[in-house]
Amino acid sequence: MIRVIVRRLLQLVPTLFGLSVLLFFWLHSLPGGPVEAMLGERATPAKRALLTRALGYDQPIWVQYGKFVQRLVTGDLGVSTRTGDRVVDVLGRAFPATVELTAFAMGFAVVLGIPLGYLAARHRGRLLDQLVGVGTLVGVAVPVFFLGYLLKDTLTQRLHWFPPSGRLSTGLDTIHATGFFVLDGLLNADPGASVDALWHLILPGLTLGVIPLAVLTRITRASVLDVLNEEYIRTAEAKGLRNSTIRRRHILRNALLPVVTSTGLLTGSLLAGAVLTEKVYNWGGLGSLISDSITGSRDYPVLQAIIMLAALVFVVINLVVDLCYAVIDPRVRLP
Amino acid sequence: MSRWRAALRRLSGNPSAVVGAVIVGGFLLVALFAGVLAPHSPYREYLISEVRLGESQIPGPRSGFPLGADERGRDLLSRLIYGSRQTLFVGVVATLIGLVAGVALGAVAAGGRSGSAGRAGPRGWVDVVVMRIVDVALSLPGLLLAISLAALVGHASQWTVIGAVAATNVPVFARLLRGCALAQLEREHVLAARALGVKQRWIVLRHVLPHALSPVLAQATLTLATAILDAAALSFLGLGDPDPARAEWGLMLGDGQRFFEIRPELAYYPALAIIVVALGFMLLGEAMREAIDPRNR
Repeated sequence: MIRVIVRRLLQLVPTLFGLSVLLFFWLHSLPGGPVEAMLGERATPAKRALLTRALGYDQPIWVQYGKFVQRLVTGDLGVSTRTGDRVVDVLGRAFPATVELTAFAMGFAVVLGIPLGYLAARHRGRLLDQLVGVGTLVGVAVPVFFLGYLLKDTLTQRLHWFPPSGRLSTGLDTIHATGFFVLDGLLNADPGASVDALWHLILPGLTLGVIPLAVLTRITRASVLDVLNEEYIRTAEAKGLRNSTIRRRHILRNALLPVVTSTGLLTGSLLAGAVLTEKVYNWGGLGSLISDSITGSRDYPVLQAIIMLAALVFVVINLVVDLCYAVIDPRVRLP
Repeated sequence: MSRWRAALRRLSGNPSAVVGAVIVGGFLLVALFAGVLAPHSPYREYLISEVRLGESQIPGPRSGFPLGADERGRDLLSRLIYGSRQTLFVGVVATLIGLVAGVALGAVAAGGRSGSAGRAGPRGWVDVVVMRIVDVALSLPGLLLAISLAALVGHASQWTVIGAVAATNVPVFARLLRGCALAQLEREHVLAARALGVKQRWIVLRHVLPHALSPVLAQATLTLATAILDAAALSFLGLGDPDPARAEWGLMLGDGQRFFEIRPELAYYPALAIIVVALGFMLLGEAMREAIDPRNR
């Protein structure tokens, strides 16, 4: 197992290396190069020359790329051109926020999606199944940001059920040791702060969770239907096993295999939805960071770092999914 | 061609396919005849004198303007009707570019990998290179890749949106077609062609592509839906067409949200249009997938 993990981790290296090459040369192929992109078109030549020298852009391109990779590996991601903060610090603040939001959204999708999909499959063709079918299609077709505004407008602006935006009410500024606000509240023995953070999580979490909910429900339904057609279910019934035993041991256990895969893949892809959701709710995670970095002049160091981070997270999640799959299903052999 | 006819028959017996086809057909007709259907120009600011944003006043529905006006006093209904054109254009062009480039890459990769009698082809390295690039592109979730590409270009325009959305679709199509093509290359009719001395390029073009295309076409129909949704998301993030006069649903939705508290209809109508059209393409695409391979039900 360890050998497999190591080999698969090594296989990620060329992918990430390729991405770094593409990113680097993409930035350098922009009209005016990265300096103009950072300073804007109206910067004075003196200013330009200064930044060009400071960033080492007057050196040959392969030297620049070498330095770029060197800095990347040592964790020096440069300085945000918008705020002047170190990119590592900016990412460190934003990353837990997005993880917390994604975890909540995914939890919501899994907890609701699997039972819904199972029920739809067991009631195939009946009203419940049809409602679930239409609902899951609409769930995927609704633009995430529109759903966000809709929920925000009705449930907070009109009904005042939820806080409008942000991660914590003002005045509740406690020490954030982990950056996961729900956890921090518990660590500080301040359950009120945890509840408040959870309260802030609900609407953005639901907004972000709708697409994975719809996808998971569909996949669970299809997968359960496949299993129901298997011979071993008929055998189990013929043996006179109790229904609950068949459901647990025979149907769910087999049907959940593809669901596990999709859960992992969806978690990785939620980062895209997070960009939209976080902008609507002013969440302050990686998604907000992306949308802040592209309004007005582009903040390339931050963008570059987020893209690399997102790719790293995405490929690692995919790797974990593969490994989990092998653990759950002994038939799967990892290449 | 009877395979296609059978698929078509299965398609017409499927209610969700019919609903999808009706929606897509209606959308196409509206886009085509926008000039006839729209009561007014989508650009002229008819009711601008009645717009007072400070007093949160945007003209509502009235005779001649059944849906009212937008924040610049332009007729909302006409803008919605004309918007279908722009939305269709962005969706179709982005999907087409992704499809053609992806299919070409996938076919080259598959053709390079598979040589005669199951041995690795002479240009196996092409397959390796293409698939590595595909892996890199797929190391980011689709919409995030589109956002990154559009953001890294620096300046926003309609073509950055199209290019970004198209580029995210290329690896998806390439991988799908390569898989189908490799499966086809193992089939007996390919072996027969090979035995007759047909060149690899001709085998891929004539004997493999036509059989490997149908899943790709179903995927393309689904991609149209995501392309429209992704383009709307890019517009919302400010990466879309900077021309505020252009009528496009994603743009209208993004703009409309700024006036959500004054007149939410400005966001509701374009959102509804996007949802319905995306649904139509999804229903049709899913049904096509089922019809091609009845096991996918």
